[in-house]
Amino acid sequence: MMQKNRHTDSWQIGGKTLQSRLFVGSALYPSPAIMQEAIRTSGAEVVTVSLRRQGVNKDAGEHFWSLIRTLGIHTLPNTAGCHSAKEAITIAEMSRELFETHWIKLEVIGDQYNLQPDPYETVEAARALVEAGFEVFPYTTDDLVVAKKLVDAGCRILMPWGSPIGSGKGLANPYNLKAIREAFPDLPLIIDAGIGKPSHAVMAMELGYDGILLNSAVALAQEPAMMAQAFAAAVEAGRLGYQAGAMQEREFASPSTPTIGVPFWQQKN
Amino acid sequence: MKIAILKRFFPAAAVGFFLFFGSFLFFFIHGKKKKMNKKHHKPKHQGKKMIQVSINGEPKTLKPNTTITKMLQTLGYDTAWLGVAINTAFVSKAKHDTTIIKSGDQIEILSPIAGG
Repeated sequence: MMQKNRHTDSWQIGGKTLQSRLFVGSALYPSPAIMQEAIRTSGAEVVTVSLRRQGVNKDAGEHFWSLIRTLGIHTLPNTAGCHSAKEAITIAEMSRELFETHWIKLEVIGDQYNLQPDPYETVEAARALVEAGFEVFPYTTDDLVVAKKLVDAGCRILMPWGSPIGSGKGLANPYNLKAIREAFPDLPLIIDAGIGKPSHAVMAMELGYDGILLNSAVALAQEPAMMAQAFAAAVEAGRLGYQAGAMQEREFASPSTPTIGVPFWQQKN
Repeated sequence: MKIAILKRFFPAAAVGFFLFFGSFLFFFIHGKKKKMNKKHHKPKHQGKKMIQVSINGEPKTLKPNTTITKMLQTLGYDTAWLGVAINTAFVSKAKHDTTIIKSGDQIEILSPIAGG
């Protein structure tokens, strides 16, 4: 029972108390029904959403938003598609009013090929948004100096990438991610982007990260709801593993079965 | 001799003369007619000249003194779940009734969508 309590430990982020350490996206699912099922199965308490130009189907936005609201979990709007601080700030302000939350996943893209965030524009937008009263969840690379600049700008959360968005490559640079964890031991850190398999999530949690944000890994799986369950278990396993404290790695084998009283053994000489 | 040549070519010269100056006369009259037509239609729009704007990247015309609320109604949009930005600046819902759209404004109308 004690073990159970340990992995359902509640934690704080952005002024809210959560039980789950898995954040999920709402995009790319085969259908809205599968999206709802997968998000519910994941146990996630935070779902990401976005804003786009009103299309020909006038009710699409309202329909989608009502589906999300029925999940009854926190909404984390993103600024996906923005290429400048100015654009991101406008989207953030609009999201605050529409989604009724001061949380914003700040995403300012600097490169179309790998969707790498633009550090200069991200830091500039972060500073303005923190001043405007937002809780900024900045999507950033695994660059330690950029992470520091974001914290200097007032961010109380960091979301470094594992690898480029939608690539499913996992943790491209665990060394850098470890360095960020060590530099900010008390800051909530979320791995955002690049997670493809449950093992990636376990690795990130074992590094001491506080949570995982993913979308494609679940939405593009053959069975999204089943994969959502797998990720829920992975995040829990990784978290428990981190809390339990792993053994020291060794260069040589060391027998695990006691060597005293080994049968058939005879003293030689 | 000279007179004889003139007499001989006179019909052709006359035709050329009429074709050349006649075409000027035709375009002159035609042009005047066009101008008169324009003048004739103008008074209908006087005082409420339509304004040209861009909505989500598409060129659109709106009546002058249109507010954001009015524009959304005209477009048939439910105002509850839409966000509006004019010239990349966010305009809160509280200002939709009082913000008047100006000629040349770049308007963005956004709505919720799935995101990662």
